[in-house]
Amino acid sequence: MPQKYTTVGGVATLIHHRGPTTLPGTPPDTSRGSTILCLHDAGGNGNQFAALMDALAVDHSPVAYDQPGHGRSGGLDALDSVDAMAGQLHELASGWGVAAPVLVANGSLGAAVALQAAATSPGWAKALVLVGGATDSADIEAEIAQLAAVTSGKARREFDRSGYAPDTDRSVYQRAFADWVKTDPRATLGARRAQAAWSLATPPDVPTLIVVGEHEDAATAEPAKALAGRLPKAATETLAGAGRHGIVEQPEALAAVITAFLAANAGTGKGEG
Amino acid sequence: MSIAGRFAIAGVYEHPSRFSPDKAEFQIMAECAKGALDDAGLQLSDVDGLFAASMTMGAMGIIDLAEYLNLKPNYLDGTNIGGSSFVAHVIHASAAINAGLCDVALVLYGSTAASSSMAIGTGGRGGAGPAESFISPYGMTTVGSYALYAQLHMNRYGTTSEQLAEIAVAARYHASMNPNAKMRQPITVDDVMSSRVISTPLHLLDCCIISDGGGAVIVTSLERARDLKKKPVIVLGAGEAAVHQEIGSPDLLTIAAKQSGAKAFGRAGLTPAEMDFAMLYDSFTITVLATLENLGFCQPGEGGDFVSGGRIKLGGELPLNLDGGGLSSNHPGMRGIFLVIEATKQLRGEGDIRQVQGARLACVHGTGGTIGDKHSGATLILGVE
Repeated sequence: MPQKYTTVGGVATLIHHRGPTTLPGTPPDTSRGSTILCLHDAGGNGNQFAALMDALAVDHSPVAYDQPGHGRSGGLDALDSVDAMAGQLHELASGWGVAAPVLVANGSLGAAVALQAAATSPGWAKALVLVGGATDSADIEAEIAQLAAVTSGKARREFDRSGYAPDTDRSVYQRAFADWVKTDPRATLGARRAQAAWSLATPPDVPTLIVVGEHEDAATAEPAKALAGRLPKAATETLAGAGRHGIVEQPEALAAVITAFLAANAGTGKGEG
Repeated sequence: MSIAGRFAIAGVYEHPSRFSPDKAEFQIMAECAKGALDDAGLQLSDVDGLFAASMTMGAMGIIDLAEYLNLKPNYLDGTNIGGSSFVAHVIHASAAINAGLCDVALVLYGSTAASSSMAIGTGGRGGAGPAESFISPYGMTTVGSYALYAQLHMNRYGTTSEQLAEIAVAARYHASMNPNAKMRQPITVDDVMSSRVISTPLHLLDCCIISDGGGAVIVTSLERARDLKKKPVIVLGAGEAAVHQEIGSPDLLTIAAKQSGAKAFGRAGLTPAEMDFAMLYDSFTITVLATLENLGFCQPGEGGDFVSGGRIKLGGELPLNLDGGGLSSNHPGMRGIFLVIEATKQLRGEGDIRQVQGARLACVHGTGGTIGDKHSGATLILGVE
């Protein structure tokens, strides 16, 4: 996967993209279809979207990035608010001249950043796709407590195997583990604390697709569906064969869902700019 | 002719980053070189002696580094004796300048230990020493060896885990005043005691962190240093030593600091009691305690009491590791260079809110390798005019 660093807000930020590699200081090529910016969850990174980006790249220009403190970007800590994360997204996109991106968000923090970014700049994002948990994380306080125990040395760091569909192939877990382990838990903790302090003030008036996994737990599926009711232009769709981690469990099927949604709602069919 | 009092540290720079996945090891070194040269008021073209080691530089790495820096030095030294290497490099640089082999020595270190996911303390020991085939197959790790040292110390002298924890607490207290430190949230003895055990009796917070980072030091003659930007920090005394397995019969609690420290203090004509502060390699809390005893700051077995009661905190009798040390500030695999850098800043009066008031004399000691096993020690006694 082509990768490159760019400095956003003073932090060396790793960009994952498709298409040809470009020289340092030159943005990736986003001329194909829509520019799809992929936003990861707390503790995640852009590489989690690798298979999804491969599939989306047939018709579009997908780009993912690692937030500060996450994956292979610089910094020890996460940004301290969802607003700051949305600001970083705007800065990153404007630096490349991306005017009307589609935001594909994974997990509850990814969704929060996407909604905040769309809400603070009406008309900027032309569509949102939220996968895996929407914005409400029922267990966020418990997760914060666990992460605090880990970062203070009182508990071991353990990979969470929950939320996957039954009979998920071992290779999916292996890839997920390899990406999860890249991020220091203190960054994950900071990101979750930022998320816990956030609420959506103004629902963005933008076509939004909320993707719920066929096998997703009610604890995350129901809030996701409820979120759809609070957004003016939202719909839900069930992703067959997936739990909460659709981007790694069913990337090709998810790409097909996203491509169809964009064709119907965002005026971006195959090859359209 | 002795090097004591005739050579000085004229420039230092510590890379502020603790996680730099976008940088290469040499890139960090180059940035540090620029920082130290700026600090000294020198140009890269002034450098004619290059001293460096790293976690990954091979036998010819010093040549690759010279090429990366576009340097053609008159003197090259790639000595690697573990984390103490850079303390030793200051000694070697002074000796080389003394011999007329170079005039301005650049000492460098850079590492991406954290972003390269190196398991420094808990990984396999590796190595190719003759004793490895009798040790490595049994799963000995670096932290395991230090833990055995701690167990023996506890058994022989009654040293407690709470006393070791005092060292971690003091380091974190100092790190809380260092904006670049990786871990800045103050901790208590209870926090250390309740952190999970890595290798009995060492808890997680008894162990150094892993970070990226690097540093640079400029050494030149005292005469030349007096004409440069910053107050010279003078090499008053120096010593090096190695401890090995001695065919299985060493006194495990005697570390290289005993030999190198005696030489360094002797050459400086000073005693541990005269030091205003000390920068001691703190790979683990037990490393500090062992070093204090072996350098002569206290008697064998007295280390536990010595580090208690606030003595080693800023404002105490012997503040240690004012930057937060490897336990809290940074530990990119080898951290001897940061001991020299922080000592230099303190002696110049550049310690900001963690400044040891009126500091004029400091002891710097680097440990390389593994105490309780084969290791090196390098000691510097530094001072200002």
